[in-house]
Amino acid sequence: MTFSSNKAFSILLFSAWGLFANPLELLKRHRYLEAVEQWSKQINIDKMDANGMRALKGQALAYQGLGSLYAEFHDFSMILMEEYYTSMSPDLKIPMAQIYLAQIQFYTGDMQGAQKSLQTALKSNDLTPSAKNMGEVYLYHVNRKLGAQAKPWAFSTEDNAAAWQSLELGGVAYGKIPANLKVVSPRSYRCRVQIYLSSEEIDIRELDKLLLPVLNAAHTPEVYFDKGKNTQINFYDPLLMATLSEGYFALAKATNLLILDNERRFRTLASRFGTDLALTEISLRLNQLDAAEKYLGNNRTPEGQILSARLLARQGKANEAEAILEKVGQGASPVIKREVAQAYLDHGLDLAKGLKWASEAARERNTPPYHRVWGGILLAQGKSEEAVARYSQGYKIEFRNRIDQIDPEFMAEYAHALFRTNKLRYEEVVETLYHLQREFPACRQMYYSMQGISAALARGYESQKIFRKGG
Amino acid sequence: MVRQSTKIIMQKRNLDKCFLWVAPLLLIAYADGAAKGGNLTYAEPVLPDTYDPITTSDNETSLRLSELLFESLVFIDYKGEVKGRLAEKWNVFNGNRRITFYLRKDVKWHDGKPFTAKDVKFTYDVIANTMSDVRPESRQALDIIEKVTVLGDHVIRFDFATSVAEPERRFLFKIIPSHALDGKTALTKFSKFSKNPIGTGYYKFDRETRNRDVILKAFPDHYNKSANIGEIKMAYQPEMSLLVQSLLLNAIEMVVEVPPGKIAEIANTGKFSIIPYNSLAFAFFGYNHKNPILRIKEVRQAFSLAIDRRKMLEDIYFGKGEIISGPFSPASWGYNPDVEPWVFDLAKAKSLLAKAGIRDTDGDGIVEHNGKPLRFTLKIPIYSGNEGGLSVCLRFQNYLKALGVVVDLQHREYEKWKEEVKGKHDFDIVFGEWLFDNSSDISSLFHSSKSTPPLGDNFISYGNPKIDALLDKFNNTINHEVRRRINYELHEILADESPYTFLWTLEKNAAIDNKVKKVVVHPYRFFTFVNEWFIPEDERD
Repeated sequence: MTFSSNKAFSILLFSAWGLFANPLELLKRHRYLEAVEQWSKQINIDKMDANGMRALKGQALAYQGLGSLYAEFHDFSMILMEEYYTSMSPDLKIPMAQIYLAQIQFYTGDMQGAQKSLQTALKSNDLTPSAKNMGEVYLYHVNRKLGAQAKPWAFSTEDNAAAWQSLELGGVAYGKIPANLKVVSPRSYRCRVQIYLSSEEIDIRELDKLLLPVLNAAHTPEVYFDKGKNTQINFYDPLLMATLSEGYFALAKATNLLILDNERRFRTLASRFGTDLALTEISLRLNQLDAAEKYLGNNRTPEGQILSARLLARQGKANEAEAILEKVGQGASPVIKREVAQAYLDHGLDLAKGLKWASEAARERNTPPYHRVWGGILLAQGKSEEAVARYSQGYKIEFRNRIDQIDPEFMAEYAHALFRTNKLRYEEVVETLYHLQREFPACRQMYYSMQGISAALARGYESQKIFRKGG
Repeated sequence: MVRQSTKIIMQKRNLDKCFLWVAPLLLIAYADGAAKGGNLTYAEPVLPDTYDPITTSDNETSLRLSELLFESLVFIDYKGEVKGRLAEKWNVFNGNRRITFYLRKDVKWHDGKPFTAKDVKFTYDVIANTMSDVRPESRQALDIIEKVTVLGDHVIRFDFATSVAEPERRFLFKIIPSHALDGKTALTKFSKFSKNPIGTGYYKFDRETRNRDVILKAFPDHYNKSANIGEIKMAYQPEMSLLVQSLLLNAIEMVVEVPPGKIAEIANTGKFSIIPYNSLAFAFFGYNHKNPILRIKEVRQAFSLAIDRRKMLEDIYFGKGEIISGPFSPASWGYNPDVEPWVFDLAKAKSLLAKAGIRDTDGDGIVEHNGKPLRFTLKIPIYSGNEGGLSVCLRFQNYLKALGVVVDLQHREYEKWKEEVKGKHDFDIVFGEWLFDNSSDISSLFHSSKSTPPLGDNFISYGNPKIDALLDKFNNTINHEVRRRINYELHEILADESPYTFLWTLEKNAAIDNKVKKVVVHPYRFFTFVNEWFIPEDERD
């Protein structure tokens, strides 16, 4: 989460602690959906009062937190899945692994790699017709990205997941989804949400309803029977986390818009909610730059200026963005300095400058989020061992793996840093992901992939074990 | 909107990737000379059973010491790659049926004698000798070697019976000197060499004090320049509470395994780094299948249901661990997350016993089977630092009492206990813990062929043809995905069969003074990278 949510959170905490201790406590403990559910009981849309407004703000924060969290998971998950499928492909020659590797290559923009993987996979006789169908869907779109003049994709319902994927990749409108297409696979739930998210208007209830089956099936692998010898390997939808992230950001935006509609009647609250800034920030996360510009307006607060710098960075005006950030950081509070550093990190600006602000902020305030930003910049600079050491300063080791004590975003980021740095600590990464998948079932894909990577590493032939007399 | 959003995330990811694997230049400011020197004292709660690397089997203190004293031909670095140590290079021939190692010519034993290929051959002969006190697994790992040929002072060739994938990974065992044993290839824990070790490692054995502390000195003639820290002292401290106190009072610099309840206290001082490692252990109650009642599956399941593991973990270990459902740690690649742990349910436990025909027929509060009351012995080793284990056993006794089962606790000296449990299989129930490396190979624990002492670790005499078949399949495949699937299946079956009551995986953490820099620990061997550790001059005592 970035500053606008932190600020609003503190306002909410200050103004509503006594009334809504439970959902706030849940939010603090990173149990976002449970908090949303609790706050739902406080909201009557038809008869909105101040308590309802605070509850709405709480929900918006929880959704924003989930959006940010799943974005973090997605980053790490893609890296893990890519490594896992890559490690499987050469020695095992599993065509399904290559089809999934191709999907990751497609989403990371490596079209040549995706084309090669798909062509290799589709030559195999071990693929079933439905698996082939999925490969062909992606190959069609890969070829088009590479400039091939292809006829429109002939819609096929041979494989439910492939059919939904072809609709999503083809950019079909939500209202144009064929009525006879069933929603029966994890991929279909996910694609349906993704298609809905490209609608002009988002209805909170509808999106909430569509996200539910995605979450319910989040731990479920996609089942393709490989006619070869390896029929039991699990494969997971690589865009699951990205869709969840975008879905929750969209919910956060829609909730904030609802707050904005009602703010005229609650001016005191409105002045403290910072809804415009929240909408700017979320719009930036959703890559809706025009909307971000509109909501930001001419906000001259430090927070507003940082968002303006972020916007400029996204528009490719790095120098202007850095100039603003440098100015805002001068003599600012630690939290603003940290956000300045975070902006440098998020937008790939001058990391040396970012490091300066991050270290300055952390020296002034020695708490986990400050060390996390510092560690993140070191990691981005390639100083992975230093990064791990810095992260450790903010990582409450005595509570490792407990989301009620450590921000799960931090857990994932720290595990990511360990993953890059030291293979001897892979077990710790596996363990962290085990805990995350118990709290967030969508993380099963990360846990599974990491187990696979760890298994591939375990090639020692002298099995070592020690019997100890009790714990 | 869909693709756009993905781009946002990908942008960040690609940015990260740009910097991936860029080598860090950490701590370069410390000049080599300034890094040399200083002493490190660490504490162990258990005495080593031997100092040699071949005969040690179930003693972590010995394992850690042997990592300081001895070296192998190759080792696995922290990037997971095989690197040469005593071997300078190697070549693989004949379709992976032959490997030739070219050894370093600048290696000396701690007594100054030169290291040669004869020592490697000798070590192989010691391991292969059935009279040697060697773990069967270590011997089996070398079974595939058909012939060993010394081709020169520093060249040795191994021929395999069949093609071996990545054969260099079979040579992780430590090498011992032939001259120290006068060429005799039968080595036991009680041999002279086991008490006066001579290795090629970064540290040489200096002495064992009257307090049973062990002093090691940096080996000045090590071929890879001597280690930075001049002296390492292993202090024997059997009292866990004193061990932590010693750390907090600066009497020692490191504790290799901090009791779970002390982690926060140590971490909060800000003076020590807590280093998590080796989370692949799990604790269990094992049931001797030679006992006809414990052989009944419903009885074992009832015991698993009758104990509240979550409460025990919270009360005894401050919740610093994870309840498990099968024979792997959740951090292992073999752990099947779809198998749920048994949940405490006394009523269900009682009904399972009833299903097996076990009831309290005479109203004395003790259940009977064919008129015979259920009474078992639980053997507990006596040694310091086992307070947690004792509490677990007492709780177990009380939980089973509620089920109408009598458990007699029998205390034994550790060596006696080990002989009775592992050697003679003379017990009903045992409380123990397995610590694994990353191979997640449980075949010696549950394969029926491993139940005859001293051939394996299946001291509970468990036998199940289906499990045997799966374990055989596991050992006959190198496909890691298939191996994982097999472990998943083993996990599922063993969770149901309950040959053990699988308890928990406790967190393992070392604590080390922040003045010691560049500390990387190996999750199983611990000291693999000790030569890099150093204490800056201005922070030495």
